[in-house]
Amino acid sequence: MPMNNDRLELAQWAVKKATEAGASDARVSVERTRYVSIDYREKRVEKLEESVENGLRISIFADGKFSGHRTSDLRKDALGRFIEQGVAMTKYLEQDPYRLLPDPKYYEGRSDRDLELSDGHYDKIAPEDRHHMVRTVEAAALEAGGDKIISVEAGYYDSTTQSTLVASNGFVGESSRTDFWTGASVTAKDEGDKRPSDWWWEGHCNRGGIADPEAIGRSAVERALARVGAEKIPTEKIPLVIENRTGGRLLRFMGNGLYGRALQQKTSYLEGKVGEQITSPLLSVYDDPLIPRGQGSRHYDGEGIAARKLPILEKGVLKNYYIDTYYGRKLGMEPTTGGPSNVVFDYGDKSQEQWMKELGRGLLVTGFIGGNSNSSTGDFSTGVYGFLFENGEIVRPVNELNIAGNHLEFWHQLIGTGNDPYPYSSMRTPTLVFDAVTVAGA
Amino acid sequence: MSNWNRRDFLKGAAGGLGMVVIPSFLTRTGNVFATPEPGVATPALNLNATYFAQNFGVDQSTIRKAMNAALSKGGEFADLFFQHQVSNYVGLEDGAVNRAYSSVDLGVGVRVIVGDQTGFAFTEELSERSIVDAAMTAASIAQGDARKAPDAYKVAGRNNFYPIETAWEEVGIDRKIPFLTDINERIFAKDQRVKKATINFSDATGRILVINSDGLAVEDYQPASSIGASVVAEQEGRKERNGYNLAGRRDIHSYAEGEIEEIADLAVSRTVKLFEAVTPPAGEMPVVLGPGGSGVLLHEAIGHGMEADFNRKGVSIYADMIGRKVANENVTVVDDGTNPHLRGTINVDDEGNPSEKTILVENGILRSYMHDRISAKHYGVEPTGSGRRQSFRHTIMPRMRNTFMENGPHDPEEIIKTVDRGIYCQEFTNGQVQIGAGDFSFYVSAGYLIENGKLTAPIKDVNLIGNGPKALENVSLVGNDLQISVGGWTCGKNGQSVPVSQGLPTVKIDGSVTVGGTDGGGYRG
Repeated sequence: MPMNNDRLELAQWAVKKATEAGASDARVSVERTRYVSIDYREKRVEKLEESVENGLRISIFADGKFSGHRTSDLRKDALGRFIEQGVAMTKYLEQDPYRLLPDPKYYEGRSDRDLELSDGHYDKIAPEDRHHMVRTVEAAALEAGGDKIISVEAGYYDSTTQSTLVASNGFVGESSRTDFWTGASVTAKDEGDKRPSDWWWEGHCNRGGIADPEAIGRSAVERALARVGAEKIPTEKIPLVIENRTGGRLLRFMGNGLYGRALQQKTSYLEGKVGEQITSPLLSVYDDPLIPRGQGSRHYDGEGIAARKLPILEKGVLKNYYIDTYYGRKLGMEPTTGGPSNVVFDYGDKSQEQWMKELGRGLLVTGFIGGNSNSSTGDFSTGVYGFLFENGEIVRPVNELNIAGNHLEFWHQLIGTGNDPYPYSSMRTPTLVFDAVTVAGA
Repeated sequence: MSNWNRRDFLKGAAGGLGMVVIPSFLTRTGNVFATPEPGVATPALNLNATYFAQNFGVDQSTIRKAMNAALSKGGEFADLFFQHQVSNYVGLEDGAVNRAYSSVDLGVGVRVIVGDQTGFAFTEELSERSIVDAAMTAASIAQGDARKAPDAYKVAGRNNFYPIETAWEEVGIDRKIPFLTDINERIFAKDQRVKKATINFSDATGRILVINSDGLAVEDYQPASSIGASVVAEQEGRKERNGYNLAGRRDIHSYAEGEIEEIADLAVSRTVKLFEAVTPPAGEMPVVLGPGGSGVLLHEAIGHGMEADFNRKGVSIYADMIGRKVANENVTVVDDGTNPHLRGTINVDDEGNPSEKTILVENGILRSYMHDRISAKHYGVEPTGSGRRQSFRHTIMPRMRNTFMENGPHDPEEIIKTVDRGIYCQEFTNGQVQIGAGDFSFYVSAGYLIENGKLTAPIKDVNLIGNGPKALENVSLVGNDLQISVGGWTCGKNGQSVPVSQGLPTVKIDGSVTVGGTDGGGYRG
């Protein structure tokens, strides 16, 4: 399937097909991803996958009514029937005056910055190069773990994706990106039946970004071994240092009230809070889609709205929500963008270690387990595990603990952030440091 | 790692689920194909008469070429998994049925196995060339001489645990819309505090054809549907949200007056009850799990750890525990794919093996893992019909179906009476487990405090955390009131989602589980 021009041609054909069938407007995206995935265990391939995935999505606007459809069956006759039936069924629905394509003024001002998201050498990667990388990760892990570990599962993944977005009111966008990931999960021996594990994976949109696969393997082993002997501690109030790799989960819980849909459907605890101080002034958060080589970078969002940097929190004051066209119109608010791209912070000047030294005693949280957050009220509760530290040094691994609270209170207890954005996620979370909070345990 | 999500239908919609048009190529072939008699082996399947032959031209000749390509480099085993899945969603928001979504997935996944090594490729084009290309890609896991594909394929006997009267292909969107408006009206009539309601109706029709190099061929027709309602209520400036849904391998006739009223009634009563909720406690205490969705405990505390792939690799806490006593004699835990019309029920698994009831724990003794072909061969046992995949784009893993605990001897009220201070858990949203360490957690969206043997104030939004084997060991009382959840549960593992269900009778766990509230000082703030 489709080279660039074919994809654009198919998207335009689908828009035309929809309007011929009676739609007043339509938006179509066509996407193609080719990927290779390799898993190793015991120095042999465990699983080797390679495929191409194609898909077309269409939003249909007809008689003031709306529906959306997705298919992987791109044979033109089947696709033509699929679109005609989509338009036909849309007419059974009720009218929805808020359902329109974005005003074309929001398409304007699209950045032409080169985001460097696509590695031009993707097609030249030899199969052996992929195997070599995952074998390197695995060998380093096996060597570092020796007889203290039970299992190393090493992996490698790369993909190349091309997508095209066309809307009947004038939007045309094309984008491509590549991704390269490698890492390992390691399981260690422990007392009794317990087999603690941890992982380390790194990913970049250019293959050269993965600089040291041996270090990746060693990190996975170090992390797994550090979990050996973990125990529950009694319930107490204790300061928290949340590792940069895991803090994104807590921020996602907090962020579930930021969406237009939640606001309009009265399921957001952040309704009416723009301009208010909702966290400690030490927290500033931005959505920044235009970072070169960013995991979440983009020139336009799923509706075609031109990407721009959006402040979410400035010194703890709520500045903006994520508002798409539909809920923006329902709420009478300007659209911003439907969802996050890269989430970045104003970073502090201390490392995780320096924060631990400064606090003396506390809980270093390296992972969350389960948990959820009620977007209507801001109440959350989640399992945590990590390490107890005293005099700034880790004394032992701990597990089966839980933290809970309400976001509108909890985030006021933030006393600092680290200088260490986590680079392997679109959420570039730093170490987050909290004043004593109740940690439920034994 | 194994992350559960209660299916969020609105999120599903954003991802492209839902709607209702009958693609004409579906209506051509008529209805559900004939079901073989349970347990009776039928003669060779005519590969020119399958659903995929009739509708997409995948005939005997194509299959033979694909199978030969898959085995061309010496693979010990190969299978082809054809799938055509049509999903529809229609939704009501702010009083109007004003959105519909649909999704079509069509393709074939080709898997080649050598020992415990897997080669895999899929294609969404069902042309002979594309299928053979995918088979060649998957074949490259092996490096040996070509093996010959079977000349004929036998179809195994197959039960039908989800017979339906009317296929979803025959149900137009116009027949679904009245359900949504009806439920919406009932919801707003029930309580003045209701401010918002969203209602959704989803259905899916899956057709699969599994063909393997042992000469087995199996087709299955897999219907699924759900109706759900989500409600927001407001009282003195405080907002609460809750909801209810009914899901399963059901047809439209299974949503009658009683079901519609149940959805509306529970969606409202469960929401307004939350206004009474007090701060949940923190720390270890006795926990009583009410019957039904509380089977999430089993799913996390033991289910995932009993999936044989984790044990074959030695990474599960249960890896050396078969035959060991893990709980008292009243505890029997099963994973069952045969319960009529439940969401996790399958006639055959995605490797073509018949579904069954697998006993994980029998009267307190750990009995069997859940197996797919690779793990069954590794352990020298029969597969348990647990080999599942999200779609033709994904590879097989051992997965749960409907996981539940059998009834025990105790009266549920007597169980509650034994607790001086603890919590009672009733509604759940999600859970997670660490397979090796055995630590699990699940989120209780609603429950009650237990004080002096009685349920008192409601509690909400509290996470529970514990260790699997430790929690099982501490199950002290098992009720006689087993319920299996009819909610829309979806299980995630290594990035793949499959529909499941779970159940439990009322069960008491003594200590050992940490309740993650904020009230560290006692049991009442």
